[in-house]
Amino acid sequence: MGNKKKAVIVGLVVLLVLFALLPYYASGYNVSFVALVLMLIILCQGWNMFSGFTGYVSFGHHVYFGIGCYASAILLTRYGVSPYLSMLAAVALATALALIVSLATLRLKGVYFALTTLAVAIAVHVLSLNIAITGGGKGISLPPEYHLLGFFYVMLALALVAIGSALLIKNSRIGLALSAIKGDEDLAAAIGISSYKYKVLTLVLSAALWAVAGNFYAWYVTFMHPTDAFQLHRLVTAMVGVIMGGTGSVGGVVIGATVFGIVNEVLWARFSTIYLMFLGIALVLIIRFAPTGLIKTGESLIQKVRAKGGKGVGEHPGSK
Amino acid sequence: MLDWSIIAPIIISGLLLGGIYAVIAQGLNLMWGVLRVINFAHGEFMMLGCYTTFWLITLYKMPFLVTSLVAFLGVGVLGFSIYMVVIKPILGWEELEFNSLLIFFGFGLIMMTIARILWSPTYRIVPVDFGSIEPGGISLSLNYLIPFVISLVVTVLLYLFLRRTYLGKSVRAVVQNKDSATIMGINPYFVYGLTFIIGCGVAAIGGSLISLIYSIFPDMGHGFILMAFCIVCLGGLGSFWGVFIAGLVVGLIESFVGAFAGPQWEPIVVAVLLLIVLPIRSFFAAR
Repeated sequence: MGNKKKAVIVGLVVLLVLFALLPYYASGYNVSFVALVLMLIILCQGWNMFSGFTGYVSFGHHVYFGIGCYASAILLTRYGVSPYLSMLAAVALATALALIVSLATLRLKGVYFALTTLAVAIAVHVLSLNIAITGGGKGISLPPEYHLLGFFYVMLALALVAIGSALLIKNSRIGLALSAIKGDEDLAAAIGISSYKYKVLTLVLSAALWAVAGNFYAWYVTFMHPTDAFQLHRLVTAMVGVIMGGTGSVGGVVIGATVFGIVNEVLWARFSTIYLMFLGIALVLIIRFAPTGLIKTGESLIQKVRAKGGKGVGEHPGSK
Repeated sequence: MLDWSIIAPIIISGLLLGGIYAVIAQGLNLMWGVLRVINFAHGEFMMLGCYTTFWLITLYKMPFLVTSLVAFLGVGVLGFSIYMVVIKPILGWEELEFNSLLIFFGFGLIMMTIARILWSPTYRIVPVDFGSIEPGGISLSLNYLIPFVISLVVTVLLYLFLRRTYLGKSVRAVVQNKDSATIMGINPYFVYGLTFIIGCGVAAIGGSLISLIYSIFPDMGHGFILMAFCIVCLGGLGSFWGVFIAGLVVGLIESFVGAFAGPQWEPIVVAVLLLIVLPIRSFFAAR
């Protein structure tokens, strides 16, 4: 076992070095491609951290991304604040909004919670279209500078932070509390777990991740418009990535986000007119046939096939 | 300043729109109440209803009522096929509400893209103008009034169907207790299929009616989903007349906000209403 662990660590370090050196051997398009996939990993981990761990499905996380976008867009164009500083403003704004949202919604259950978070996102979207500071429907043009390298390294670092913090939470007391809440919230409350506190904590963390990603995304694409900033499809893409990987697992979500991120970017680049249809078809197929994620579904399929073939008779389905 | 001649048209157009909103929400209410399935493609079914009316009138000059009926049947059959293929196999799942929401969201994206490809994303206007009348000095467009009257007829028909016919009673029996209803000889899957036909078909009728008022485009469904939810939550899930009244209320509020704050603020109404209604409701439900 020790050797296996060592091999995994060595493999991860090699992978990280390969990633860090990517701009030295890959073309600009490929670097931006990888950066966008990394952004999807961040968003997926962020969404999973709240919705995957607690079972409270948020349908409004794109609002935090949009807020992050506008934090950097407004601060950079009006006051010349660099995105590395406006990141703090993005986090502060997202935290504030997450706290307000949690006050209003965290006592709601299931679909009612999901729809209320969507309502928040739509309200902020409409607001951003109609107030002066966001430039309204005209959008904001940021300084047209090429920040590919900066964006790539920030996304890489942020992805590591997202995965690391997700692992930390999952393997700590908080993670235990969260899975108790997911299993049976009333029971969790009865044995003394302050479910509200933990839910707010993870909501704020995941909102902050989305906001920081948005903050740098606006800086990278150099143009911000409410329809792009508060795009519901960005959330749905992240949700599909999470569900594909297996809701609630950290490693699975990295794989799911990577696979779906690559497919997504290729499809978007090649077939932009019917891209949304692919997203829809992916959503329908995954929920219908693999709601627990491709990895788990694959595992149980293999087990079924083995059981039919008469192999592995002595194995208990749960043993590994 | 607040003259009756200014207020009256706002109230009237709000109520007339609200009646149509109520019909759209009634379809969602039925499916959600009977199957615990959330039809997040409700707006897209409505959009298909709009286009059915548009094309049948533009190409074949059919009477408006006939196009509404065709929309009901066509979209109802589409909804039924979606039910048979994807919803029926997952009916026993845990978290059915949320999974069905995501599945329908996917179908909504598919329908929207197909509409974009087939009919291009341009805004279109149904070429029908019924003119207007002026009772008591207030100008009243028949393009608002006729859809409202039809929506009232549809509401009453739906109510009579659920209350008076054997099929409608079996729908309510399945809602109250599926097992007992099955023992009494009612096939619950037949009822579910029927619910899907009526629910989606009613959304299409709503679309067909609203196409006389709004211009139509493939992405229009998005805006109506949250509205239908808002109305169902406001009126109470499963409450027939509650949803009807909530539809009128939402129409009124939207009309006032549009008139006094500007039409660009209208989309925020349902979002804010949901944000007020749901927390309050859950607060009282917890007592």
